[in-house]
Amino acid sequence: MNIQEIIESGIIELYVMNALPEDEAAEVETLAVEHPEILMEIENVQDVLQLYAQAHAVTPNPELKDRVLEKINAENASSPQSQKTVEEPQTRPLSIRTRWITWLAAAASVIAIVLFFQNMSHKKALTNCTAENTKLIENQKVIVQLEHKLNILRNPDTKVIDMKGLEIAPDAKVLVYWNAKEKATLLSIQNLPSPHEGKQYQLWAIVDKKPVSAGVFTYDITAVQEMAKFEHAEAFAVTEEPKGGSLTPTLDKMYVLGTVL
Amino acid sequence: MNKSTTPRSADEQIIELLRLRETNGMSLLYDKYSGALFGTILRVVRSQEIAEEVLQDTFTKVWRNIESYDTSKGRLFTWLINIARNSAIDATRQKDFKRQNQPLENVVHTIDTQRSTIINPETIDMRQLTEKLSPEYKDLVDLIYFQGYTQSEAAEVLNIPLGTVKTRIRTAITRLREFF
Repeated sequence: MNIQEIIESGIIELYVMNALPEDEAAEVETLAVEHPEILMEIENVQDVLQLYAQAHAVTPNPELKDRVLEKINAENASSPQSQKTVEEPQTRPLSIRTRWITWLAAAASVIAIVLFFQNMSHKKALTNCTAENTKLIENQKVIVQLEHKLNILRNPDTKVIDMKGLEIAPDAKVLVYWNAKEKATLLSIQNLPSPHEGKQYQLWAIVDKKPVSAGVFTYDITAVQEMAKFEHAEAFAVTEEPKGGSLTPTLDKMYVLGTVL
Repeated sequence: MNKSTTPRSADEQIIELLRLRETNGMSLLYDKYSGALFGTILRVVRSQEIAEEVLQDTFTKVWRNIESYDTSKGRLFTWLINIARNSAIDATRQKDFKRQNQPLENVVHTIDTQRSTIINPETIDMRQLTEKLSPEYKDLVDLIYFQGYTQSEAAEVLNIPLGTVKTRIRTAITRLREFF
């Protein structure tokens, strides 16, 4: 088999999913070292599968995080690594001739201790730096998202769908910015009562007269939120649904509705 | 469009913090990946309670074994999901579970209605995803990727030849690649 045939055989995908017998997995690893195309394919498949898994994410109970952190903190406390660094000085009877060695040893341990603390503070500084860096990367992601949203808002092809309040809440108003070409949907709450306990708002697009979920959204009146993408839509509507959303809209809980002009 | 692939450098920072035994690193790791890992674990153990135990167990293993993670061998997430999946399978063995092959959608639906699944509306249109991947492909991907079946186990359960498993998996991932 040539490289292209190997890539197209499905074996790379199975390798990434950990589903190959050991000997075949080892073969793929050898091939990856020899052929950068294979290594690249492995990385691409990993990225796709990561996105797939993230699309199926289920948020665990928030308390769980504290339990995880408590547990590893407890492990940390019981096996401190740092103590190994400084060794106990040996004690033995001293002759006058060897006394200078003692002084030397004492000086050496002072230096060792100084170096040890210096190392500790460097480590701490490095930790702070990496944490800062992670924050910067996260911030950058936010900026990229904002830019993306701004571009959609500025795009002349973007339609503004003014969803007006229905009987249940006549004063409600939610805007959808929808761009069929760029396949982008943004949502901005203008006026909407806060959702009931255990409920969440969900946006629907009416496509070929059928409601299709555009996802649930956070009750945040200051945010412009990105929703699912549609090529076609005749109208948009918002309903109140149990947390996590529903497969079909609860029609008597429809708060706003607006048609695409 | 913004591809939501995570920048690798963010992962590298997390790994570095974990190697320095910084709890902060674990906190970042948890925020980033707990949802995807929990989703996977739930699909194997099918019980909220056990899944929570397995998730804790997974992060503890990650904490203890971060030194054995080899960056050159693959993405951090691939390593994490392998640990999560194996821990989940171990748990089902311990608790005398049978890995039943009931229709996946049923199970996932039960999970989704039991708890609020965050189907990330920011980036993913699940309906379009389902359209892209018909059930014969989706079931195969889920069986192998989420539930840890080997290629031969999957062939046996679905009653298809091994060669078909390979070609279907290839097609499935190619379609997902077009989607994301």
